Amino acid sequence: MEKETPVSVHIQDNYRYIQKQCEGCADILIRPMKLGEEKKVSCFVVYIEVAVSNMTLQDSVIGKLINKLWTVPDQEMHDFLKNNSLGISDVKQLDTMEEAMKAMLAGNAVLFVDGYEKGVKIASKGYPGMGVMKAESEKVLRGSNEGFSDSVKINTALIRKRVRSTGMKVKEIPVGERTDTMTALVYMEELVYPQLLEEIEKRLGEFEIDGILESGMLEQLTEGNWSSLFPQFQTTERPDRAAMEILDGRIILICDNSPVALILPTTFNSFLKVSEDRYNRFGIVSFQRMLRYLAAFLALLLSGTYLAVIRFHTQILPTNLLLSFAEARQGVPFSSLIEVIFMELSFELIREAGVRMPGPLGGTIGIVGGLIIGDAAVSANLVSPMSVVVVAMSALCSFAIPNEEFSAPFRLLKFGFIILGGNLGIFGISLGLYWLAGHLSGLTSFKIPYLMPFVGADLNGYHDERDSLIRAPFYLLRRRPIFSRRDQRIRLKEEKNRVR
Amino acid sequence: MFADNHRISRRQLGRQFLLGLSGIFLLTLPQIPEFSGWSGILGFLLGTALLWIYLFFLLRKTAVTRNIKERMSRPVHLIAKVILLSYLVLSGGFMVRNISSMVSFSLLNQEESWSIGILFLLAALLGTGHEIQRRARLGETACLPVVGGLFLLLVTAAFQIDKVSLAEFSAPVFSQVLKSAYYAFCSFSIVGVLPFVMHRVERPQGSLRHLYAATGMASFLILLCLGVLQLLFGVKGVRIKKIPLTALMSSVNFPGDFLDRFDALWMVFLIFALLYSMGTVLFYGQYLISDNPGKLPGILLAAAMFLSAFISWKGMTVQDIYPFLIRYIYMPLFVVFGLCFGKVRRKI
Repeated sequence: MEKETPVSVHIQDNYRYIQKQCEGCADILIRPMKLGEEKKVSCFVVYIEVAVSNMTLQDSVIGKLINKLWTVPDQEMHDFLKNNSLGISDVKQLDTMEEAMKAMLAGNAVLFVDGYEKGVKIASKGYPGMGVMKAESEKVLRGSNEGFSDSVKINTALIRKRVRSTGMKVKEIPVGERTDTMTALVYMEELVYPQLLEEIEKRLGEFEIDGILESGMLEQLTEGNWSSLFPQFQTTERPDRAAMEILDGRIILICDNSPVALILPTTFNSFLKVSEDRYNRFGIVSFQRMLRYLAAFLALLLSGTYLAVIRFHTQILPTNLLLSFAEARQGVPFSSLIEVIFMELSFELIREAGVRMPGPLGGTIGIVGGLIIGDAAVSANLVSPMSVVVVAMSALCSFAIPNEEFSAPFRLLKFGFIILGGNLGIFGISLGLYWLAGHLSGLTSFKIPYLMPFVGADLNGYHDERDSLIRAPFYLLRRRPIFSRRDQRIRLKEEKNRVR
Repeated sequence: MFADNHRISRRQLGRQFLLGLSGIFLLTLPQIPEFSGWSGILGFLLGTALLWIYLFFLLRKTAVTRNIKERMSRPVHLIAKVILLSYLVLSGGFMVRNISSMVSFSLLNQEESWSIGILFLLAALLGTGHEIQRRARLGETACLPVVGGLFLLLVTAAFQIDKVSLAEFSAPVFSQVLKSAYYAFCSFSIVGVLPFVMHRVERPQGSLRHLYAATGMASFLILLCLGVLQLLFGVKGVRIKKIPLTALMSSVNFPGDFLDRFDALWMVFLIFALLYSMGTVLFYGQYLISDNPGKLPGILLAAAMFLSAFISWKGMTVQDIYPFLIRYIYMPLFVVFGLCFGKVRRKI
């Protein structure tokens, strides 16, 4: 460990240290001043421009403090600072220059006073950010519209707003040698398995990296199986979803500068849930849930199965349908396999272009690509109308998967099934399905099997199955899922004589 | 916290057995002439009863639930290992040969059998892996949809029987019943691996109920299949079919005329179940070689199974000799081994 430099009582020593460290950093300001009643006490404040409020303004914390220090008698200044006589909430005494630098780089102002052997951290407005935003990727019809922001502090506050209990703990862990990015583990102490908490802390400490700029980097560095296409952390942009998961005994990992929080552990089933599944009635939620499962299945298999049928198993098609398939393909110069791969790649291209295009242009690209190019390709006999229908249907299904990270492996694996189905028919599809089922069976997220609750449902008295392919009526969801501690599984209690 | 202890639950054990047995039973057993007519059906019921008695003695009256490997001396362990490995390799070869024939005959007329065999072995090897929990989870998840699908096939087929005619069903002959009972008992030869895996099951003493349920359901499925096949095609009609099950698949339709045939759909269920059976023999083979096998044992085993499937000797293939070996060598050995060695509690 490197030797730390204590804050000197001589202000010049501190000034020289700061000046040396901040050499060439035009955005860091060092502002010397004379404070005290007689304006004889030398002081200086170091801070990052923009991150700290104007020091002359009375409505800012630092402004109030500096203005007060101009009126305090010189000999009382040290006591004044030591006792935090102004009662400012976030003022901290710093013993070393390294601590002072860290506090300054975190967006605070640090005050050094001549003859005082500590630096004083004064919280201010901090770095500029976007504030609370609308969740863009997890839209719901019912429920809060608040989304996470870029600041870890705002994000934890948004969760705390929903879980007003001191049982909810927030453990801050800085990560990144150069970026010193603040990450926070948010969890309910009495619900979470201590081993799970230890495991994620251990994994966060297992690597050294110069910088973490987004939670996705943390995700890749801490996941158990790096080679799997399937995400082993769930993501959310919604504080209500995060609060809900915390109440289920899961842990939320928030990273500064990222509006995407990670949820751990996770399962296949969790990815097909949306936050409003808890807000709506069970019948419609169950129907939607089944639709999502079907969509995931079709997104993966539809194109491959289409190829398998038209290339190998045409006997299963009714004669009329077979004839219309054959008619539709008349004049198309490519094999059906090439045709479908070409269409799928075109779709992925349109999708990628649509995502990168700014604002309304993205939607326009989708319409231009989907309708105009598709129609032109059919008219020019480059592709058959049937393959356009199949690819469009498969694309629609991939959009019905509620989580973007989870939908990606389905889109990618679809190509494998296209090749298997196109070359080996149903036999190939079956081989691929078996491999995939085997892979998912072996996958775990923090030791929780990915296929929970379709495996090991007996471990929680078959209660997790009530919120899987279908969602049972809300009053039947009495127990927390397998993620929570065994002795803390009861979530809902009702009066015994309550009439339903 | 969820246990990562390389153990499986009893429910998983049961489902593995059911899934592992159902596909291969439906594919191969209807072709055996001894299972036709009343004698075959009664014999199968008797064979299942025999199996249950054997399982009862194995699990309740012996120490089979303790790690048998630790209780064997090196030479005894080696002999047991060689016998079991040879059984698994031949079983794998038998399956590969049957499945390759079925796929090339019913699905891909233009494909060579051996290339299908390679692909099949590869998928089974990659899908099953070599972790006991992974395989158990796969069995637990897939059992219901796959066996449910096969059951649906048989039930739908049953509804297509126009007229129940038992004229071809000759009266049962005692000697035939006994013979088919023994053959049925031998078809459950995979229970020979039980002494080597029971110590990996959570609370293994209580597994009997799950094993009864699994083997009972597998028997019910094959009996339903035998009944439906013989009522639909006739007893003689079944005998002349190369693969009776695929013939059944192509004749079963759903109402609504959405598709002309549904055999491709049924085939997915069947191939999945067969892959799981293949994975079973591959897995136990790897497990016998080492408690923590890497990738190499699996590859070697797959290669051995492939060779045993496609090598012929004096015109005989594994399909010809495997049933004989099971009935007269392996199954008697497994019964003796399970009961006798399980009974001994000290190191042999």
